[in-house]
Amino acid sequence: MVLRRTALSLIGSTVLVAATGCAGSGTGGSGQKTFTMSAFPTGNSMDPWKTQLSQYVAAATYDTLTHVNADGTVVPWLATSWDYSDATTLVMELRTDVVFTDGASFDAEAVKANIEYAKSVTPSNVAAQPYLAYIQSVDVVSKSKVRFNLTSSQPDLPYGFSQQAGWMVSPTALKNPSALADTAVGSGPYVLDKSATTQNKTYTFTRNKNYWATAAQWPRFEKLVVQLMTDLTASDNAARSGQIDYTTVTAGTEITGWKISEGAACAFHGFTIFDVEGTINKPLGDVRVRQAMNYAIDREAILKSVLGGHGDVNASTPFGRDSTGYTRSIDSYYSYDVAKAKRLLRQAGYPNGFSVKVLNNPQWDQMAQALAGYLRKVGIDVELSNHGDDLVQQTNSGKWAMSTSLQAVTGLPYSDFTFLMTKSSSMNPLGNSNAKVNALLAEAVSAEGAEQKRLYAELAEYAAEQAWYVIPALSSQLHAYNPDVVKVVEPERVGGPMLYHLTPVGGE
Amino acid sequence: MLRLCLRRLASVVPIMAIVATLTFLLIQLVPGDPASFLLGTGATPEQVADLQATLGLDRPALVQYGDWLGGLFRGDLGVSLVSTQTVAESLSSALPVTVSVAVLSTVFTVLVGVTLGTVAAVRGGVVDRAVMWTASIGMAIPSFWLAGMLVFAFAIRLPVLPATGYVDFAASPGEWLSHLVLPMIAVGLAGVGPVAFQTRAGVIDQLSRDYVRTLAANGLSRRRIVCRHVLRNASGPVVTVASLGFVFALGGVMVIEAIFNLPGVGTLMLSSIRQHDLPVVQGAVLAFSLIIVAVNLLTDVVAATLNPRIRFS
Repeated sequence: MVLRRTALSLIGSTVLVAATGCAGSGTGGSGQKTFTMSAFPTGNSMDPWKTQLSQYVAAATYDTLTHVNADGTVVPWLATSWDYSDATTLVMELRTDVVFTDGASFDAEAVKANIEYAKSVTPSNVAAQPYLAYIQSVDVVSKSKVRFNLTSSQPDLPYGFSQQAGWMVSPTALKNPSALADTAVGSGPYVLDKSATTQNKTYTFTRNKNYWATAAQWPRFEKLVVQLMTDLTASDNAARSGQIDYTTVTAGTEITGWKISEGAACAFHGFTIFDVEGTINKPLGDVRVRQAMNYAIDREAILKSVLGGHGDVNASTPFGRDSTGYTRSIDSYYSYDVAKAKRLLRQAGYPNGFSVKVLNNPQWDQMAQALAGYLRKVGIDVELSNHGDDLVQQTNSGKWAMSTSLQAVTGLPYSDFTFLMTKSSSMNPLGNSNAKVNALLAEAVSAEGAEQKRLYAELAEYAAEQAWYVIPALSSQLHAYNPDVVKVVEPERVGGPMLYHLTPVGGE
Repeated sequence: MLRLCLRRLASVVPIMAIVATLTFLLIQLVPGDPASFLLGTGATPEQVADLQATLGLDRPALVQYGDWLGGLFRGDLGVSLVSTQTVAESLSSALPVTVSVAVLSTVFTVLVGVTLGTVAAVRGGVVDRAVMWTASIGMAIPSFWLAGMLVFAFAIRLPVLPATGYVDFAASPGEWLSHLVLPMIAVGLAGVGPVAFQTRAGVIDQLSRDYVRTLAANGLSRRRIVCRHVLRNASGPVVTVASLGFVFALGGVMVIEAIFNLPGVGTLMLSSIRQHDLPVVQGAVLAFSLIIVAVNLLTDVVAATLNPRIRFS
């Protein structure tokens, strides 16, 4: 009997001691003064120009030049106003009351220092580069006015400055950038609490007491905790147990008492055809073959089964429902028509189909397998080749005819077509260029109003016809949050809420 | 004892040299290169080559190995290619997490396994069979499934323990323990069975010895005989099984760290492999190897303490 008691106490003691020691301290969830959220890990340095930091981690400590509203409009932030004096010159007026946490002032010199550093640093934040590449030089007009001299037209640069291309780091800190590996020196709404931070895992921030923006402009939590989680199950468990107040979730997730919000459909996800000239895989050089591939897939079915119905059908053109010039007719450009697909293959000289090897990221296997399944039905034998570890190297190698891909579409057609269908596209390792796409882009960017809409609509349709992609739908991201803790400005035309869209319930 | 320790320590050097070399060679076989990863899609071959030169990756593998080994002798594990933190810094924040889980789960395994094995041996009959069945079932449960079930039961349905995360021991010992209870059980349960079986066999064997009868004849209580004498004499093989359990636990924490979002060496290694951050991967593998070698050494010392014959063999 004594032995049994000893045994039971031994077994139970470990659990009980721990349970009593923790109850109410680690599991109780956050109050409204503390906001805990999960985010996907990206880079593990606090230098936003060297690595693509989690948007939430970066936005906590660094301000951007502009902000983007939930409806997609770009609004002032560190830059108070802006104007294109000509197609390749952007002039921005800047705030004069902003100070970085190290005491340095934010001014035109700071903007110049940031852009010059961002363009020269290696390695660099790859998400910032597409916009930064347009900036040839930066001139300091006055302390509060800066001029960006562009290499060519880029009407969406103010939008780019609200994203990864807009972080402003203290110019003093940029003189010793190695210190930014684990220290953030920005002018943002929060300051990093290094003692409660584990890099690349948990970032704790406290309110920046000297922040220039008022509580009305940006109501903030007293404490912000960003937990980086790679595993969706872990973030789901953390949400269900009340450890976090905000997370991204997969379709079908329900958390008692939480709200689910759906971002705008902006993930351009499917197959990218690199080899539109047919140099690696001859059939792909024939537009009829690429069109056949698009007729062969059932977009509605893939949207429902692979994407859980969260998104919009897309005709393999980087053009969403929020894009200037969008009309519903573009969505049905490619109907699901197996007979037509086979007919086009026959006309192109491939009545028995052909084989193609596709570079595949195993993370996107579900979409890849679904598309491959449909293509096999019309005789196109797709062999998926998984390259999780060296995907970037393989993409850049130029030896692949096709790849699975997931790219963002912003709803700004000039940027979307430029970044996805011109020679400068990052997912264009073979350097394809289409004269008509380039001409329409050049025409559209200098047009205005209805004419511009018409030109972008024409471009969208032409892009669909050229079929550089096999994209069944633009998918959207789901976000779940505890409405007792955080007030979320629901995203309308953006993929998800920015940090400034997440504010305390009842205000600061 | 000192000679035993010195002999074992001397064997650590060649083992670590082999591990270090194999680690380096295996990592050379991993497809992809850090420069391409860091620069992303769209990088030109010139940009990749420039960054490779900056990072020193354009040098012959043997030269890189020599540099790395030289650094190792100076206690310098190198610098992360991605974060520019030193590898030692990265490991110093991750190692306590992994070691905490592994040590706690081993303690759990030993505590529960020895208790169950002893109860089964002493009580016999139905209790013995029930305990051994339970231990066998515990061995068959995959740790990742158990982790999910534990979270559901004790963090979601009955919210008494946190589902994810880690708190430093120095910050709050209570929270440290509470965050590690579920990972500890998830990792440790599978080891309970072998320890219980080993303990049961050892205790049954010892209970049949003459000294047990003599001690009982001298009026010692059964509990005292079992706890003071039988368990001590039966513990030799149990220590070996427990040390193997620790090594098993170290391997298991890789998956468990992901499920519980623990910032340990497993998580660090996984993200470093994904980012092609080779110095960190090398440092992490080396750290794992060092821990395993240290545990083996400790096991030998404990076994020798418990059984003096080992010291003189």
